[in-house]
Amino acid sequence: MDEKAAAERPARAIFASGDRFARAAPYAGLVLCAALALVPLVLGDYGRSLVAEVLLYCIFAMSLDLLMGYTGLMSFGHAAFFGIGAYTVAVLGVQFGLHPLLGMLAAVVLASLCAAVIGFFCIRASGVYFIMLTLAFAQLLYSVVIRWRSVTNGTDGITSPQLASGEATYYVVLAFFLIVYFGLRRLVAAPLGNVFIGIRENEMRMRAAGYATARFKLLSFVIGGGLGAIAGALFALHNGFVSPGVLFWMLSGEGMVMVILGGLGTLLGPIVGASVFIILKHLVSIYSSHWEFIVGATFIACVLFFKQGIYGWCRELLEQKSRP
Amino acid sequence: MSILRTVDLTRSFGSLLATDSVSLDIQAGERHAIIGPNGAGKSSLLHQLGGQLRPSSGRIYFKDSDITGLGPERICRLGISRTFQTSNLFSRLSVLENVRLAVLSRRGNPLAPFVPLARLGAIEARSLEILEMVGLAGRKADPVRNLSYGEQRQIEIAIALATEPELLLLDEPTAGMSPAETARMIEFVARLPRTLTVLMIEHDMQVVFSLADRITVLHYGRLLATGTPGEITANKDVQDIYLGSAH
Ligand SMILES: Nc1ncnc2c1ncn2[C@@H]1O[C@H](COP(=O)(O)OP(=O)(O)OP(=O)(O)O)[C@@H](O)[C@H]1O
Ligand SMILES: [Mg+2]
Repeated sequence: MDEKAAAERPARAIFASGDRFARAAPYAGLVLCAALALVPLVLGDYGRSLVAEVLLYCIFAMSLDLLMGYTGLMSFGHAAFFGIGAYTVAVLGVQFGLHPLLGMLAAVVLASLCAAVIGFFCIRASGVYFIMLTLAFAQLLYSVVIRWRSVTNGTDGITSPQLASGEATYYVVLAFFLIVYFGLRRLVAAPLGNVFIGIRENEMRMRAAGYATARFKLLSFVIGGGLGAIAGALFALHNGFVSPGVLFWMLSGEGMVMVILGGLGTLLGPIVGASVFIILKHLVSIYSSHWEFIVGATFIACVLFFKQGIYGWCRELLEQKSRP
Repeated sequence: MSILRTVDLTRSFGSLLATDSVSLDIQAGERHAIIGPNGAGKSSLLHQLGGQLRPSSGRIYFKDSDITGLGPERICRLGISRTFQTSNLFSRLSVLENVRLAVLSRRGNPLAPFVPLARLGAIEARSLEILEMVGLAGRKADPVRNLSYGEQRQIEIAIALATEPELLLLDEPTAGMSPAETARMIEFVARLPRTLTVLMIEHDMQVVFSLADRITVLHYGRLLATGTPGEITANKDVQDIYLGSAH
């Protein structure tokens, strides 16, 4: 490549995209948005409900990727925030008759506060200790929900208030999906997102350059937690029923699988990963009760053969093609 | 006027004294070289000045305020920045992104969540200006890991300068460089304004003698001698222990 062209290309080494890919992306995005908007008119109840589920797990995976992929915080307790989101909507609805959309607002506030407290303790640790601490906090919340029967109804779970129709729920989920996606896209390009990326790449260097990295990591944890709660709150709306499974470590693990499967450190990666994961889960569970096994095998294959995840792999292919 | 002072600075690793009651006094604007054999405790001393390592005892004063035990981010904000002995960069990010993060730390608002960083013209311009200074503007889009070792050393300095320090700490800036690159580095440091104080660890005597106003010799963690290049070459202890073995 000649030097002039190299100099004129925007300086974004990791995320640099093939020109053709970058030019096609907005159109592909528009087509996808239009298709998503038409889903309730085209697909039946089952299809619409499946797409809504996919979208809300996309929000969950994107919020986790802000921690894992952008800030380098391998949280194994992200279900905590999903669960807080779901239970806040359900409990406030059942106990006080609060409208689910207001419940959602409360959920985000509560989850952000919890993330600030949990993050305060976890951020101090790193590596495997961070992973274990986040897991421990999430499991703590799980046992609180199981024990606090008077409010949460324990292992029996509680019904959650819902919107008037499935279509309305779908459009609310879609709206939040778009808000979170475009919001995060701006965030990761903004100074704050670049600071997160710097911390992921070399925290010691960031500190030597004057960044109080502990505070930025906490901030990332709080934002990720708040967004994770949106996914959980939407789950309550969508599902109409919440049980302690939404706080169980399995969900944290599934979130990590979605992110890694799709591709760490990108926004489309978690979207691809969550979509593949949820659709696979539905398809396989029709034929077999061992869907975890199949998903697990897919995941291992993915980690072994395309290290950058499905999205990263597709992107590499496209870039190779667009090179002369 | 002294800009940096250490008083009986000591750091132990178990029974080993990496820094053994070192008292330094660096004058504002001077170019001060620290020399000493391998394992003399030069990097350990710099780590303590930069906040990467906590001293076991003793004090560090920067412009007469006590900075002993502060974290690296605080020390950087006060006006001391540094390079590392082995390149310590954002190796997967581009050359421009590396410098831009340091410029953002000093001149921008790192908390801004929605404006794209690439569109903040003042930060971009300043980053390019610094890259121009170290002669790497032409490679701004390349990932840093694709640069030669010598070029990576220059990025180290670019990042350190981007935080606009009053005191610059360099840990072996020419280590691993070709003679031509070393010559360019000498010229570069020589051209830095005298409002900036430079404290550098250096093995290459040619670099030391062409840049340093004063030299401090460390040996087994102890300060053996401090003085002008003339005084140091004339010093009997230094000849015995250090220069004697080097020549
Ligand atoms: N983290 C550590 N733990 C234990 N010992 C250490 C540590 N860091 C340094 N040391 C020891 O302290 C002594 C001084 O090391 P230091 O890196 O400061 O030397 P140096 O003068 O920079 O050497 P070089 O010229 O090889 O860079 C060495 O004996 C080293 O082994
Ligand atoms: Mg050293």
